[in-house]
Amino acid sequence: MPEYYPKNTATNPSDWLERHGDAMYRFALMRIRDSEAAEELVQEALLAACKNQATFSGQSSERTWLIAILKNKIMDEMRRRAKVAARHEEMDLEHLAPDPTFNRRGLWAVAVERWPESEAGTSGGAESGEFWAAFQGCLSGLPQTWADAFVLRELDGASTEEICKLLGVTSTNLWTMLHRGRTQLRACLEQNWFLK
Amino acid sequence: MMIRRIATIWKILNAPCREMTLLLSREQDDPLPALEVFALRLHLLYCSACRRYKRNIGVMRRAVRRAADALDASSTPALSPESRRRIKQAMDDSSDLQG
Repeated sequence: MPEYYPKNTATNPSDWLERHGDAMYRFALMRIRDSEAAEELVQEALLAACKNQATFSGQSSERTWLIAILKNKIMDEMRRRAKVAARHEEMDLEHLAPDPTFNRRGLWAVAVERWPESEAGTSGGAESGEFWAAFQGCLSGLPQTWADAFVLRELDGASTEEICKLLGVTSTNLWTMLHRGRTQLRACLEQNWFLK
Repeated sequence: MMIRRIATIWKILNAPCREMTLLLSREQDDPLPALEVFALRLHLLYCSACRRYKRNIGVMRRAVRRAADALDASSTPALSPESRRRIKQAMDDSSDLQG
């Protein structure tokens, strides 16, 4: 590379916000579910990126690099709020009210319906925005830590080991959170989407 | 020892739907031990509600992933003009500080 040619020409901080700001915001919002917190995280990530420009190798795209930084910020935020939640009831699964989905003998107390084969409305396109809104509505009914665990697992494909470490829970607790979360989401989406 | 082992096996094989759906959920995240796999297969043979649960959480997983991908590829939602200005200001300030 000739000397007069500046290093890292691919990346210029003043363009980042314009080129990647919205994508970064969507990425954060989908995971953190709060627009103010998502904006805050985008800003933190961009500032961190400015400081650490040297770590951009040019091997990945600028977008990929920025999203990786943002992802770390999101995980920090989830770790922080799991710690706050740990002081409250929701992580204390032993003292949690029993799952109302099942009766005292552990048998189904609610109906589990057969959903249409077509998986209608989930094929992408305009309807996926509507599905996402229904999903977010259902997700907001879950304790935050359960919702975070579900998001990490389903959106980011994180392993249970990684999620346990991040949220500070045992694997048995995580399996229980994911089970109760899925059971509640399944019932909610059945009503609000799949059999609507 | 032996009796306790048999009691454990008996308990897993006869677990109710609540425990079986826990296994169905756990199966989406981690491989299950052989005994649990066997107990689950057996249970699903005669429990149609748990069969539907299994199918539904699979549909749900695919639907969530597809919708997330679609959202990733779309152009909304976007940063508000106001927050965009605020972030730009913060970036300019920090680059000034760094000289």
